[in-house]
Amino acid sequence: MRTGSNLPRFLAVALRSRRLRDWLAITGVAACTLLVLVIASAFRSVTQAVESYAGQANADLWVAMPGTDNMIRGSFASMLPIEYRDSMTTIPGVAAADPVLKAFLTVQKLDSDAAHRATLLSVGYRAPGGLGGPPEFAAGRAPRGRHEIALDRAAAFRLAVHLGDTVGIAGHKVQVVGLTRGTNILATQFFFADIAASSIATDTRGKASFIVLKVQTGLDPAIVAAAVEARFPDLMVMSRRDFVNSNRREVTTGFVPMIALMGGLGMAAAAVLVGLLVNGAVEDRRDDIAILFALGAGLAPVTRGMLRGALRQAALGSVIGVLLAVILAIGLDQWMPIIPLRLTGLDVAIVVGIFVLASGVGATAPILALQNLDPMEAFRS
Amino acid sequence: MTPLRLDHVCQDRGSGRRQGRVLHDVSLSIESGELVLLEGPSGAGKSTLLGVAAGLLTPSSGEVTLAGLSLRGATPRARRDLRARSVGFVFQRANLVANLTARDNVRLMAELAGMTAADGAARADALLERVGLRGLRHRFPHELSGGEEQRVAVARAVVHRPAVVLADEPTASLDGISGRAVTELLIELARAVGSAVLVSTYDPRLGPYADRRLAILDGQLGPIPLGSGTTVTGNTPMNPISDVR
Repeated sequence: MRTGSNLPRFLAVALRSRRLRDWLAITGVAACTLLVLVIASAFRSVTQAVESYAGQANADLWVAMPGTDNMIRGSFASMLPIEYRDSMTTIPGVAAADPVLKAFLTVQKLDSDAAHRATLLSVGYRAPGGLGGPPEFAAGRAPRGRHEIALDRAAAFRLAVHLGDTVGIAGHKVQVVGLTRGTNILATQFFFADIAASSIATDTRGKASFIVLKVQTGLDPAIVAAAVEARFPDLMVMSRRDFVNSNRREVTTGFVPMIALMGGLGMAAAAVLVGLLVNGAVEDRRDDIAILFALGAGLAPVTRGMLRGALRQAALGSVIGVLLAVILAIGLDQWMPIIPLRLTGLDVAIVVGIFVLASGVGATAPILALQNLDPMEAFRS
Repeated sequence: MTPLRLDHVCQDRGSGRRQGRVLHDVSLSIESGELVLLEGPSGAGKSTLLGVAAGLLTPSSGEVTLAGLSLRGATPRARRDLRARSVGFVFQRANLVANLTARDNVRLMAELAGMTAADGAARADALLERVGLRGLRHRFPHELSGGEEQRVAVARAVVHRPAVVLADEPTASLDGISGRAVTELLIELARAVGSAVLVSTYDPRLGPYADRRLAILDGQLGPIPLGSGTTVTGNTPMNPISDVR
C-alpha cells in the first residue's frame, strides 16, 4: 500500500456490497448463529438442570440397587427397603441419610381438560428439608406434609397452574406451594412431594429409589462410601460426581449426536451462505474491481478489502445472532419457560469464532478468483 | 522524455487455431501536451492498443515505453505502480467507483498514485471546482448525470498529473453539448499538467481538437490528414506505417 492514509478506507467502501445484499448476508449469518446457539443452549440447560439436582451440595453419596444409577431412566421397580436408611445413619462419617423415591406420575390441573395434564418425574423426599429435595426455588417454598408439592416452573406453565392452585395426582388433591428452578430437562420436569405422599401415590410404601447420604464435614466421601459398601455389599454407592455423570450421560445420550449434526449443518450452511454472498459481492463489484485494478490498485489490498468485508459481515451477523439468542432466552424464560435456554460465554465464543472462521474460509474461493479478473474489463463495462 | 512510445508492437489473442492478431506492428509515440486521436470502427483494436499502452496487456512482441520506462520484463507490480503514477484513464462510460462520492473517486486515484491524503484532497477539490462540480462533490455516481460523471472521470484522470492520459471513446455515451464540454475539459486539464493524450474515438466532432489523427483498422495503424472529415469505417483502405510522427 502506498502512502495516503485514506486508501484502505476508500477500498473498503468501494468494495462494500450493496446495502440489501450486505444486510442479507448479515441476516443470514445471524439466523445461523441463532439456530446453533439455541441448540447449544438448550442442550446446556438440560445438562445444567441435571447437574443442579444431582450435584446439590449436601448430597455426597447416592446409594441404590445395582443398575439404578440415575434419576431419568432405569427400573422404577428396583428399589431399596427404606429401613436401610436407619442402618446407614449409624455408619461412621454419615451426617445424615434420607430416602428419595422417583416415579413418573401424571399431574392434572383440577377442573380442566386433557390439555392441562402432564406426566412428570415425581421426586419423593423427606420434606421439607431432607436430602434430595428441590435444588432452587423460583417462588414459594418446599412442601410440608402429604397435601403439598413444589413444581418445576416450566411444568406449572404447561399445566397453567400457579402458586396456591390445587392439582390432582393419582386421585389425590394437592396444593402447589413452590415453583422450582433448574429442574426442567426438556423432555420432562420434576415435581417434589413428601416421600410419604409419593409412596401412597405410587403404591410403594416402605421403598426408596435412593438413599442419599451427607458426609460429616472434613471427611473424605470415598472412605464413607467404602464403609457403606462394606455394610451393604449388594448395593451400589455413587459419589456425587459419579451420580452427576450418570445423569448427564442419560440426558445427553441421543442429544449429543443430534446437536453435533445440527450444529455442524448450521455452521456449514453459514459458511456456504457467506461464501455465496461474498461470491455475489465479488460479481456485484466486478466492474468496480476491474476499474480499481486498471487504475493501479494491487491485488493484495483489494483481496484484503473483500476479506475484511466478508469477516465484517460474519462478525456483525454473529453478534446480532448472539443478541437475538440472549433476547430469546430472556423472553422464553419470562413467558415460555418450557424451553429453557442457557447461554454460556464459552458457547458464544466458540460459535462466533467458528462462524467467523467458516465465513472466512467460505469467502476464500471467490476472493482467490479475483486474481483472474482482467482489468481490461474496465474498457468493456 | 517521450511519455508514451510503442515500437513494433504486435498483440495476439487466443491460441492454436483460434489465435488471431489484434495489433500488427504498431509503432507510435506521443509527446507531452500532445493530443492524438485514434479513430476506427468497433473491433479495430482501439481498446487493445490502449490496454497495451497502459501496461494492462503484455504485447506479444515489440516494446512499450511509458514515462521513460520500458515495460519489457517489468513485474506486474512494477507495471501497476507505473500505471498508477503515470497513467490517467477516461473510459467510455465514466466508470466511477459506485460506492464512492465524486470527491472520493478523485481522491482515490490521487492516493493510488502516491499523493498524500491532504494533497489529494486539495487537488481533488480544485479540479472538481474547475470542472464545475464543486457543489456536487459529495454526490455518488448514481446521483450525477452522464455528463457530470464524465467530468468527474476527467478530474480523476489528471488529479495525479500523469505523463499519459488514455481515453477510450469518452464522448460515446454523451450528447453533443456534454461531449464537447468533456472534450474541452480533458484537453485543457491534460495540457495544464503536460500529459500526452491518446483518445480512441469514432466521433468525428473531436477531429478539430487533435494535434494528430490516426486510423486503426484490423489492428493496423495509419495517419489521417488533419482537417480531413474522413471517418474511418470497416471499408476504409489502410496503409500500414511503422512511425506516424
